Formats: sequence, C-alpha cells, structure tokens
Amino acid sequence: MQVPNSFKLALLKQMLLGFQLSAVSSNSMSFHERKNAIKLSADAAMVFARGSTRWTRGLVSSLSKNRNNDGLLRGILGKKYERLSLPCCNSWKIPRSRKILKRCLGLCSRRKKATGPQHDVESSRTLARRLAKKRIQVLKKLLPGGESMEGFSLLDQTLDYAVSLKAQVDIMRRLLKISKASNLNK
Amino acid sequence: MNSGSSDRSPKCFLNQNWDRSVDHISQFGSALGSFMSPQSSFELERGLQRIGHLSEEVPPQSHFMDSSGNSQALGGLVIAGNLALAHLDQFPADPGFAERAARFSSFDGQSYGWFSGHFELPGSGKPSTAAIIQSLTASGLQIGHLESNRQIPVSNEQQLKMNSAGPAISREEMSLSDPISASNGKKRKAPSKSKEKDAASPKPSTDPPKVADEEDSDTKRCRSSGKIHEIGIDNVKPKLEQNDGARSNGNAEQKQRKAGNDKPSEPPKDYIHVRARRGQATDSHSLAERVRREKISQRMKLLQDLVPGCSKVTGKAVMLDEIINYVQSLQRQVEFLSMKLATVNPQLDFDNLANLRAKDLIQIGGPVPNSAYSPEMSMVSSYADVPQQKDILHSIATNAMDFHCSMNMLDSTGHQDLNAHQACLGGFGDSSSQLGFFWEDDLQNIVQMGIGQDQEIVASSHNFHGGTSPAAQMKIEL
Repeated sequence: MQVPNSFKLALLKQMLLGFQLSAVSSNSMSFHERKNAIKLSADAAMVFARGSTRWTRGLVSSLSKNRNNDGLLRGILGKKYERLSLPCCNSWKIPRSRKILKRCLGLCSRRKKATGPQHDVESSRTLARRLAKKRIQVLKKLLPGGESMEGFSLLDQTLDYAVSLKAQVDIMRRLLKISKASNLNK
Repeated sequence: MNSGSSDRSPKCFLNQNWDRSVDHISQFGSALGSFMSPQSSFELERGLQRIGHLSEEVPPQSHFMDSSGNSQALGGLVIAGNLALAHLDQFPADPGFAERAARFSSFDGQSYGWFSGHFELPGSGKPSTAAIIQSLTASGLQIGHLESNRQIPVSNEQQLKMNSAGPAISREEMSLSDPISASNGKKRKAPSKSKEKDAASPKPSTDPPKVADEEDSDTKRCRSSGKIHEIGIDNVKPKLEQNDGARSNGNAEQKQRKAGNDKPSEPPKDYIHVRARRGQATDSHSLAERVRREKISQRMKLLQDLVPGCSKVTGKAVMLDEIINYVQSLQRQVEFLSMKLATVNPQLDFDNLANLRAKDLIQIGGPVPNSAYSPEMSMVSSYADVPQQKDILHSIATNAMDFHCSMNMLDSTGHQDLNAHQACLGGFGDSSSQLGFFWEDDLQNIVQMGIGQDQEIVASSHNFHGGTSPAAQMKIEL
C-alpha cells in the first residue's frame, strides 16, 4: 500500500536471484533446507530492496550470524553487504548505558517508594504505563535490531518493518500463485 | 506634553524617516554605563545598536541628550522596557515572535543572560525583555510601513515628558507586533485552540472576518492571563519546531525575511522551532517532551492506519498489542509461504520463471483489466515472439495479476471480445488446448483463495465447466 512498485520489483528480482543461487529447484535439497533457503532469499531480498535502515542492519547482522548463510547473503546483497553489516555507531553502548540508567532510576524510585507515602492502589496511569512497557519489550524482541531502539525510533522502525513485511508477503503469495498455475500447465 | 498630545505625537513619529544614528546610540549606551556594570552596559549598547540598525533613528534622541541626563536616560530605557512589557500583555501571541527572539538569542547567546538580568533590575519582573527588544528589532524593518491604532496606557506623566522616545519605541514595538500579529492572527488562533495539527491548517482559511474580534478578545485574555509563554521559548537553546502547515508558512516568510537582512546566505539552522501552547509549561524540557510525544503519536496514527481493524482502538497499550499481533502474523505468514514455496518448488523450475513467455503469463494472470484490453492484444502478439523478462516480473510485482479484476472483466465482456481473445491465443498453438482446463483450475483456486467473493464468479466457473470441451478449439460461453 505505501510501498512503491520499485520496491516490490526489486524484492521479486532479488528473491528469484536467491532461488537461483541456492538452487532450490534442484532435487538435492531436503525440505527444510529448501524452506530455509527460500526464507533467507526472501529476507535478503527485502533488505536489498529497502536499503539501509536500523531494522535492515539488525536483520543482516542476525542473518549473518549463521555461517552457512554468508554465501547466499553476499550473492543477493552484493555491494550493499558491507554497508549493511556495519553496526550502528555505538550500537552496543547505547543499550548498555540505558540499562545502567534504568537500573539507577529504578533503585532511586524504589528508595523513594520505601520512604515516601505508600499507595495501596496503583494509579491508573502507572498501570497503563507498565502494560505499555511490557508490550514495548515484546515489540523489541520481534523487531530485528530492536533491542537498541527506543521510543520514537522503535515505532518508526516498526512501521517501516511492517510495511516491508507486508510487501514481502504479497510478493511471495503472488509467486506461489504463479508457480502453482504454471505447474498445472506443464 | 500632556497625555492628549502624547497620544497623538507618536503617530507623527511613525511617519518620519528615521535615520540611523549609531553615534547617538553609543553615547546613550555609554551614558547608561555609569549606572551599570561595564559588561551589561556594553551589551545594552549592542542591543541599542541593533535597535538602531534595523529600525531608524529615534529622533527624540536629541531629547534624551538634552534632558537632564543619565538618570533620565536610564529611566527612559527602563520605561521603554516597562512600556514594552505592558504592551506585551496586550500583544496577541505572535507566532513569529519566538522565532525572531530565537534568532537573536542564538546570535547573541552570551549577552542574553546579561541583558535579561539587567532588565530585571529595574523591577520589571519580566525576565525576557531583552529578548523582546531583540525580537522587535528584528522585525523593525516593518516599522516604516506600519501603523498602530492602539493607545498606550501611560501611567506617568513625568515619564511621558522626557521620554517621547519611550512611547516612540514602545509604539514602534506595538506597530511591529500588531500587523505581524494581525497577519498571523488567523494562524495563531488555530494552534492555541486546537491540538490537532491537521485541524490547524484548515482553520486559518475560515472566518477571516472573525479575526479582528478574536484578536481583541484574545488580547484581553492574554492580559488577564499574564503569561508570555511564547517569549519564554527564548530560553530554549535548541528550539523545537512544529510542522504546522499554516504557521510554518508564516514563520518561514518571516524567517526568510530576517535571514535575508541579517545574513544573506544564512543556511537553515539545525533547530526545530516549536510553539508553546496556552496554559502549558514553557521550559525546554517540557517543550522537548511535547514534541517527542507528538512525534510518537503521529507514528501511532500511521500504524493505526496500517494495521487493519485498528481505527477504533484507543490507548497505547492496546494499540501496541495490535501492532505486535500484526507483525507476528506477518512473520508467520512469511514462514508459511516459504514452506509452501518449498513444496511447490521441485516441480517448478524457477530458473525458467524468468523465461516465462508472455502467453503463459496471460494464462496465469488472466486478461488484464478492461481499459487495457484491446491494446493488450497487440502487445500479446508481439510478446509471443520476444519474451521480455523485465516486463513479466514487473507485471507480477504490480497488480497486473489481479484475478478479481480479471473475473469481473470476464463477466462483463461480451462474446465478441472473448472470441477475439480466443482467436489470438488460438494462434499460439498447443497452449490453447490447455486453456479450458487452466481456467477451471484457476477459477477453483480463486474461489478457494477467497479472492472472488461474488456469486457471479462461482456461477461463471460453472459456466466454464459447462462451456469447455476437451476439444482443441473451444468456445467459452458465459
């Protein structure tokens, strides 16, 4: 919907390229291998089409953790691989410093609560905040590279990621349709 | 001078051509210097120089110099400040104010503290007179063109007497701000009244005649509330900007005008400029937080549009829940589809997918929508000879493979078109024999997939069943 056609086209092209490179069509692979190769191609194609954002970099880093995927990743991403596998500047420092800060703040607030007036019933606002925080944590785990993001950037990247995922699903569905139909013709 | 004439006399000041006179101002500043610390007097002088630079000379300078001297000069400046402050209460909120003030405070960040500190001494009690004057001098360009129709409530006759410059300066300030406020009145009203950024832009276009009335009432409100929260933004070093269309247009103009005069080639600053709302805190932290919250809420709105069925959901936690569910479902769909593709794959040669010929594509995708129907035929015939990979992929990627569309089209077209279609495809040879079977299967697929929701489609599939014959040449009847 919000995705331009060029994105979808690039996605499709790279996905097919990935299929070719991994030779999914041959009968030599097991079902799981084939499925993983297809999924990897799809993800790598999505990254290629989207360019460089935080979630794409997170996705590339998580995909490249598996050594087997390297060849296919490089094949699909080409020149972009180097650029995308660069970690965000101080990407590991920021979450660490945030954790420290939160720990300190938590301690401070706990001390205050201990000494200050006791509230039996939590105000609705803090309850809502806690619920929202839990969900934000879940969202962080869902989003590739989401651990290091906060607040606005998290939502922004979630939006981006959701839109790209939808386009990916769309393209894969069409591909499936085509392959089924052309299978019948053969 | 009595009060009556003093009311009239400032008007004539406006009409005069005031020449710039830095010497007078520097003298004035140095005269004041005896009463102040050297640093602040220097800053004051600079401020006054700026007043002189952008606006024209204040003719009553001579009055200043002639009059008894330092104390009165100082008093004049103080009174000017006081009058300025008094008039500020009358000023309707000026959208450009903050930016102008910001600009000057950014130019002169060091001296700012001194300026404000000094002006607090005479007991004005308002911390940002300097910024006011600074900002007013910025818009001093307009002074020659402006007219003020307001009366200055001057309390002290003595002050009036020696400080014709006072009312003159204050009148200058008044005249500066009034037209600006008048011009921006429409735009200004909207944000103070509504929180919606989107609502703000259509609002200025409505009710122009009401502006004047609103202005007066708002003025009174401003006076009573006594908050000059717009000015308070001066204290904010990194300014935050609201992307309100109407306001930003007005502000952009003023910014450009100022930029043009102060620095002809000024690059846009890195600040984001925002406007404080009525009745809200104006310190930098709350402003920054407000902008952040608004950004986040805007993103939440976009996400609400994206996730289906979320338009009625309110509340952050529930919304986040929906978003999480949606993203999870999309990820699961990807897994599922890759699994399905893996099962289909051994049969399909994806290498050849790129080599799909156009005729196969037409079979798979069905005829394209109505409008492109006849041109498509010619294209088809050309495609048959030269398979073009790029176009094929393109049509897959775009909505050319819209089965729903094709089904509707099939329903609506008459026999003629279909026969033509048949004839064309018939020329391709072996593919036509499989056409009927293909259509059957495809239609079944469509129905199963739930793309074709209409009863017609099911009915037409029956027709196809009835209409097809296993013969090589077949006519499909609807």
